[in-house]
Amino acid sequence: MASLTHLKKRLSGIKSINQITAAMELVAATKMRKAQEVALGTRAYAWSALELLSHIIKSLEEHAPEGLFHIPLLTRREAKKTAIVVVTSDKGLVGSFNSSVLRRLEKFLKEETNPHNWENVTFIAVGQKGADYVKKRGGVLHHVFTSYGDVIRLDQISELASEIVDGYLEGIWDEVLVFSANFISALRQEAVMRELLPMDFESVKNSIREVVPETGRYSDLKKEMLESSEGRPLDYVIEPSPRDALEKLLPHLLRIQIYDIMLEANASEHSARRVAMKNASDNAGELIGNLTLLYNRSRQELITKELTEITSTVAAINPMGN
Amino acid sequence: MRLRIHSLRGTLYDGKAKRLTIPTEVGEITVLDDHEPLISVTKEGLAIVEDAGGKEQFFRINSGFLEVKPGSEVLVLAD
Repeated sequence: MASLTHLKKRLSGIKSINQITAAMELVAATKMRKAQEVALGTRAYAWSALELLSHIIKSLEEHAPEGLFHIPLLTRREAKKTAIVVVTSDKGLVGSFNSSVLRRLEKFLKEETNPHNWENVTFIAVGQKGADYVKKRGGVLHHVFTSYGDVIRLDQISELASEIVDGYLEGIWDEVLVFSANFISALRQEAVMRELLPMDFESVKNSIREVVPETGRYSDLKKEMLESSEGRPLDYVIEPSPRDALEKLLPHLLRIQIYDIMLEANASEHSARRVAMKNASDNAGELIGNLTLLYNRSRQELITKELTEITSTVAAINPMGN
Repeated sequence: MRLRIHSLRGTLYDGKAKRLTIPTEVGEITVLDDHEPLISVTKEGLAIVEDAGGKEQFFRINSGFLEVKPGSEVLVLAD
């Protein structure tokens, strides 16, 4: 039987751990909600920008189809070099959040049909954990962005977005892939791969649509968004020129797409952390129960033992019992 | 006309308006009811909205886009 002071020490240790994990659970839940709210705030802008893009493209197709060619952000070229953006968290205690993203990446690089491997790909890491992993595996790290974990500001995104776009336009890389977590619901996140560049209208649309979770709060927004006013042939005057407008609009859309991906990874990180912390709190609670039981039992045992000793001593001194 | 001004931080204006004056790459323009359909790239400056009550509201714009849809619907995407 463990000593009482030892048990008491363990018990108080576990109790303070329980307090910390319970607090972290609450904080993560609040942050998750915040990230979702910010993501939904971008929705009106993103949806309008997409509609604008489809109008410009339609007008170009009708009046000057040749203008659509040779816009670098839209044109696929032979992919000699690939950049991969890995989106993870800065800190641990997030359950399987980081490992599922990294596993998805590992699986992708191992595919036999795939010309990419750890040596010939350039990595951009968002989040310290991903950066550490790439370093450990011997990958080439182009840039590490950290502290994206809490609700991110737009100017942080602009830095990342312009680095991705500039690298593409300068020919440092010919395509850009993103590995990140997709927020499905508070209990379910999925590691996904998305192609960022060259841009594709459908993939931009999908990322913006995916910002709305499938179940839970806000999920009813999904229906409303799916109705869009496509298909109306319109005769727009486009200034300065359709091509200029398109070239201005595309980087904006890309930035929105990156922002949405980050916010989604954010919401995923915090909900993963919330679940991990909830499990930790539950386990701590169970341990506390068991230890309290053990503590009480040893205390009673000690008292019984002392009583037995006292009575037997009394009996030994005074064998007649009076 | 119905005017909406969206930014990535949220919706700045959504409602009826009498007039919108906004700087674009090809010069400052004013949009009134029944303007022809137009898409334009906006420039850094001040967008002035005269709302339904005749009061002027000002919005600072860094860059963005203006779309005038048929049916007096106006959309501004601002940064």
